[in-house]
Amino acid sequence: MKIPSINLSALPDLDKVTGMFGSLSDLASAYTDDRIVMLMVYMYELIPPEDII
Amino acid sequence: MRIDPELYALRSNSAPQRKAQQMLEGAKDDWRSTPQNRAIFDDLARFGAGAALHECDRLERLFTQAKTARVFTEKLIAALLPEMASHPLGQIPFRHQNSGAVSVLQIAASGQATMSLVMYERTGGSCDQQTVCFTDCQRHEAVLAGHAAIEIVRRDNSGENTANLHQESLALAQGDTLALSGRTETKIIKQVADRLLVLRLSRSPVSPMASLEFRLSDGVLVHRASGERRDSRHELMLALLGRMGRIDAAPIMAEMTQTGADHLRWEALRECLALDTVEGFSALNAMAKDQGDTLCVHAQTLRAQLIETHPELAAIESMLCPA
Repeated sequence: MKIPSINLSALPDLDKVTGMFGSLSDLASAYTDDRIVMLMVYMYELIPPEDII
Repeated sequence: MRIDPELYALRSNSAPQRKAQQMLEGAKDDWRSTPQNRAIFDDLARFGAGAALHECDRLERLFTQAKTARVFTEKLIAALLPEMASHPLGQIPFRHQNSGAVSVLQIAASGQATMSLVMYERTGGSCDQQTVCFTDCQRHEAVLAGHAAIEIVRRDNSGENTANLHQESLALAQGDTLALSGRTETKIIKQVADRLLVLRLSRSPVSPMASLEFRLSDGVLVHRASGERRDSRHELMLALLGRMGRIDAAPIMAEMTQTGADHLRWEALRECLALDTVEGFSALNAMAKDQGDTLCVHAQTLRAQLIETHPELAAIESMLCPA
C-alpha cells in the first residue's frame, strides 16, 4: 500500500495559538518578563591551556 | 582579537578564576547561613512548596515592613561587594540579567518561589506602553530605594479575548510595599526618578495558566503565551526533531498527543503526522474518536480534510481499526 507523506505546512494550527513561555507581542515595550532570568551560554575554545600540553 | 593580558593569563593558569569563584560562593554561603537569613530561607522553602505568606512570618516581614527588607539587602551587599572588589573577574554567584533599563538579580529560589532584586533605571521621557501582560505569578514587592510613578492595572476575570481593564496611578517610594496577583493584577512602570530598587518575591502555581497580553486602549487580547516553561521546551524539542526528520521520535510524539496542554498535544500531532503518516494518523484517529477530548472536533475536521486530500488514508484507517 502506498502511504502518502503529509506536509507539515498543510496541517492547520489551532484557532487559539499559544506562543512560547515569556513571549510578548510586537506591541509590547516591556523589557523583560519578571519570571525569567536569561542565561548566556559561553562557548570556550577547545585549545587546552598551555600548562597541560 | 585583542585579549586582555589578565584574561590571557587565566588560560595558562585557571586557579585564580576558581579561587575568585570560591571566594564569592563562600561570601554568598556565609550570607545565607546567618541565623536570621536561615529562618527567612526556611520560610522561602515553605512558601515555595505552597504555604500562604502569612504562615511564613519571617519572609512575610520582608514584604510588609520595607525596613526589614532594606536591612536584609544591605547585609547581602556588605557580604558580596568587598569580595567582588578584590576579585573583579569573578562571576556574581546569582542568576542575573540586565536588559534595557531593568536589571534582575535572582538571590534565592525554592520550589515555585523566587526572590530577586529588581532595579529599574530612568529612561528618556515617560514610558508609553501600548499593552499590558498578565502572567500567572503572584508577586510581593518592597521598595528599597528610589521612587517611580506606576500604574496598577486590573482586569476582570471574565472573557479571555477582551478584558475590562482598570488603571490606577500610584507613586511608589522607598518603604512602600505592593502585592499583586499577577493573573488579574499587574503593574506598569510609567516613570522612574533615577532608579527604583525593589526586593521581589514571586511564586507561580505548579500548573500556571497562559500569560495574556491585552491592548490598553480597548482591552483586546493581542497575545497569548504558554505559562508553562516545560511545555515551551517540549514544543521546541518537537520542532527540532521534526526538522531533523527523526522518524524514531514519532512514537513518543504520538504518546505526547494524549496528555498535557492542548496546544502542545496539537503540535505533537502535527509533527508526528509529518514525520510518520501511519503513527500520526493513528493518534489523530484516537483523538477524533474520543468525544470527551477537548480537541475532538479539531481532530475530526483534520481527519476529514486529510482523507479528502489523500484518499489512501481511508485504507490506513481500516487497517488500524479492522472492525
